[in-house]
Amino acid sequence: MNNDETPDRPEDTAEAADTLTAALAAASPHRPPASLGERVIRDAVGGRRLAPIWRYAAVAAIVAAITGIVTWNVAAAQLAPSGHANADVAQLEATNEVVFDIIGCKGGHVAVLRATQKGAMGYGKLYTCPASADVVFMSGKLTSPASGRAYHLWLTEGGVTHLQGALRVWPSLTGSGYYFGSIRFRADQKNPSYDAAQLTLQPVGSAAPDDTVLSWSA
Amino acid sequence: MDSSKTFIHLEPPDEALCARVAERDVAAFETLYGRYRDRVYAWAAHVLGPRQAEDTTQEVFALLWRRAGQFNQSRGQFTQWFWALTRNHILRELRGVSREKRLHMGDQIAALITTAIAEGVDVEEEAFARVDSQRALDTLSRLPADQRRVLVMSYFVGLSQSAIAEELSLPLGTVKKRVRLGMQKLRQALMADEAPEKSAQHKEVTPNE
Repeated sequence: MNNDETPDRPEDTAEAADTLTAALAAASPHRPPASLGERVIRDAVGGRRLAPIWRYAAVAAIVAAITGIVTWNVAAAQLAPSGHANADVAQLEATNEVVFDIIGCKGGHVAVLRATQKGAMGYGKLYTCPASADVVFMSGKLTSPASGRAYHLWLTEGGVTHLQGALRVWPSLTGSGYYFGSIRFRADQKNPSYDAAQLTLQPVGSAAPDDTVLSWSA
Repeated sequence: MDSSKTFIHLEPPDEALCARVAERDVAAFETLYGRYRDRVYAWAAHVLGPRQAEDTTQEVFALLWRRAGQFNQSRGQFTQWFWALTRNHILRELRGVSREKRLHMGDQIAALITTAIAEGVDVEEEAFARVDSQRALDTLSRLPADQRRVLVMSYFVGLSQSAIAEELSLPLGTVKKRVRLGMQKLRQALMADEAPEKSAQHKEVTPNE
């Protein structure tokens, strides 16, 4: 709400929200069509429900084209093969426009997160762009997250570390046993700059970073 | 616990479901979708139109799927977080809509709710939603119509209080007072409902019941 508005406390707004939305739904003649549920779940979950193979092929072709025009380093070259073959592409499909804009952004910055454990294969890339507030993080060769745990991306700005979010992860269909994960988000401003980034594997809802598996610092 | 009694958990709380969604639990996501789809869709349909409502509902739940890991229970309830996410998304879609049109939408919603309060509704919904709907209408019926109107305009279409005052040719102080009093009454009504609501979360029964 704007500054000149009350309710002025978040919990007040929450109280009003629950009541107002329930009342509107009760009074409204509008109901979502039954088919919407399937669409919502399929599209949100993305990689969980497989789309026809030609869709993956089409997106994979775009991924390949992008990789041809942007500068990829060795880690990106590692990413491409898994992206061609598995359901990770479904996630790219859902957000491809932003993802492609950011990873192919002129003057963009890529921070490469490296594994903290010796011998671990995981890696991650944090893409930022001078002309956009959108940020893309992708990570490959991750081990399976145990139940109750998730990969969390923590970012440090101005000395303050905050949780950016939990990654969506998918098992690789190549049978490698590894997982691929990604997260896309909007920063507060264009061309966001970070001091450090770390990917942790820790219990869902953790308040502070712990068990760092990948890290990068400026 | 007394061994002669069985403790039945009637509904997984939203917060627990959201935590499972953060772990990529599709069944939990489907349950949350089932609980809140009608509300999100109705809101979107009334302010953005039925055609766009489907896309908006889809986008809101896609946000829920992507951001479930950001929900922090220590900062508040799931509904607080979810409705903030939904409202931000819908109001962003409404950015290009004129103030006059928003006022008209807000008035239509307020009128719809007032009619539902006066005439009652026959909602063919699951028990969970039906109880919620009836309770919401009962709660809002305790507010005078003018207080309900400014709350609706402020919340659903994002009109600022100064914009509402201007559009309704009312002093800003009057609008502020109506919102404040409306929120106070709403809070009192919700507090009165809180005890029975909490006891309904779990039901303790003996095997012979």
